[in-house]
Amino acid sequence: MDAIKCHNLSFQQGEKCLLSRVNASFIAGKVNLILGQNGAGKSTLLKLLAKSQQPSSGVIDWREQDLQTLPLPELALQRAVVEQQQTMQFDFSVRQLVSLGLEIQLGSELVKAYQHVADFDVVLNRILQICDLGDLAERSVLNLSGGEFKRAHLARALAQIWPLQQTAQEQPDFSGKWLLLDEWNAALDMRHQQCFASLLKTWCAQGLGVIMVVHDLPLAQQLADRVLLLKDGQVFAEGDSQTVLQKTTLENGLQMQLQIVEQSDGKTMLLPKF
Amino acid sequence: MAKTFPISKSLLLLALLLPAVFAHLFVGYNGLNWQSLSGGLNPQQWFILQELRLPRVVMAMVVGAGLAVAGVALQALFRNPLAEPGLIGVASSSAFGAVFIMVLGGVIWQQVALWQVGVSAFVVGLLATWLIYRLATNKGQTDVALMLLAGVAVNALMGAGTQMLLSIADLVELRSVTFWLMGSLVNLPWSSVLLVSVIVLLSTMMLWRLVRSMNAFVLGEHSATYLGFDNDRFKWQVIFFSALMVSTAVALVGVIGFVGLVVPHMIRLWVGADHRLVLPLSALGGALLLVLADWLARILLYPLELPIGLLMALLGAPFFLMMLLKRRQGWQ
Repeated sequence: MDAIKCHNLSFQQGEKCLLSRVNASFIAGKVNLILGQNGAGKSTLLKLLAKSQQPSSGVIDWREQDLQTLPLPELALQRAVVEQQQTMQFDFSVRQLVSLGLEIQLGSELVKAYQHVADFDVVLNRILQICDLGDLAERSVLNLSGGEFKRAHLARALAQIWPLQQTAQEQPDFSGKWLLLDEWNAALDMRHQQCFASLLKTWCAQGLGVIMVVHDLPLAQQLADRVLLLKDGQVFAEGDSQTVLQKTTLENGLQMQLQIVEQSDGKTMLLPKF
Repeated sequence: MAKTFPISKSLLLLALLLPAVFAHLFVGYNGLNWQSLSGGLNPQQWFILQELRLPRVVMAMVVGAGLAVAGVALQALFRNPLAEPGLIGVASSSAFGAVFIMVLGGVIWQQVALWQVGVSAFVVGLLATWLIYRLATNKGQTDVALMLLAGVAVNALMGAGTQMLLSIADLVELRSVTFWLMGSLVNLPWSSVLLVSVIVLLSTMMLWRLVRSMNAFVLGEHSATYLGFDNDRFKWQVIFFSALMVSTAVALVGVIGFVGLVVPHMIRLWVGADHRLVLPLSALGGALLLVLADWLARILLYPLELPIGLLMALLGAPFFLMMLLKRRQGWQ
């Protein structure tokens, strides 16, 4: 089965233990959510999964291969990551930033860096359109708002794992691809949050595995298929969203007061009590 | 938008380089100048051309290209267009390394060889680059203010060290060292020109291989990892080859600042930030700038000659202030 599994994963930074003995699995074709308070170890776990940091102990089983032995260039074709914060001092255009992601799929030799690929612009334009960046394509990333900049990075990550084999009409087949997102929605306006959430759902149906860290409970409840709840660097709860997203579990895991709100369709929603 | 190589833009820069080289060789001299070309050259004039003027103009091109490429690479490494070999202290460190051997090596070995000066300049320059990078970078992000302040500190320290060495040196050494420190392309033998050419060519090729890594690296260290690039190898290659070019240039022609700042900036204004275009065009732009600057340094106060390092500082420092002013708007 296409999945990513953590076995006894620990991460120590100096004296501080940021993650201890985490066992969890993330399943392809699903939205896998990581919840937790500030400092619970969410971003750390995401960095370990993305292989930008090495665990102090434990193993990550990346689609039935040890993540440790998987070379970075190969991994880059399977998963893309959007970080929580991103800075940029260089005057790239949005189009150039997004094409950095797409170029990863072309191979790494220098000669190829200067070759023109016929479908490249078609695919690139399609991704820009999907992410609602069509009008911003030629703008400098230095002049974007926080939300626009984030969208450009989402598009860049998407381009990195965009399936190139399909023709433009077909629905892309994302099987074997993963998207790791750290608070992707924080800077986005409501419309674009909605837009991306529904896109993510569609792509998950096409096989994309999503692992995301979010703080937004309404979003979490509507989007998540599976939830991993972290508390103080340890797994507090893990499982299907229906089982984990319960009032008492969340109240204890996030140490906050929740209220149950009934929606117009009869379903209930957990919301923070202010 | 997989870019094709910027052929027409490169040709344009080459086309500008030709008249600049011609001017450098033949305009603004008494004696052998462009007017004497029509009558054919006598053996003495051939000698002047071949042994005095040609090495100088080739050196200007090679050093200009090398400093500009080193600037591009260091800016990618520091993820900031303000990183420059002179400003962050690579050049002054190399100068200290060179002076150290020039002054103290004489005591030990009687006669100091050029390669000893070069190696010493390289070692100190390399260490300084590595040190400043470690100081300015935290968790994969570079702090511009820290980078520039670390540069100020390194420049002050190395400058003081160099002055100290000069104050204990005897008078004959002193004059040549002081003149060389200000930067000069005058009276260099073909062997030196060849050495710098080989090193600049080699290092530029090595750094050119990294243009895509540079594009990824400026997004941040983690992002480059996520895009599949090997950061550790990238970092040491950039540090090694930038320091190699800068220190070789310093050892032979002294400190010539701001080339690595001005040229990449102008090129970026022209073609954007993509390193696949910025790096090769900066090499050509650097060659063009230094040929023109060296020509100006020679003719501005003719028959007096300005040290080229001095002229570049006079041109470059206001340029740097302008860049700072522009960025201040970004910070607010």
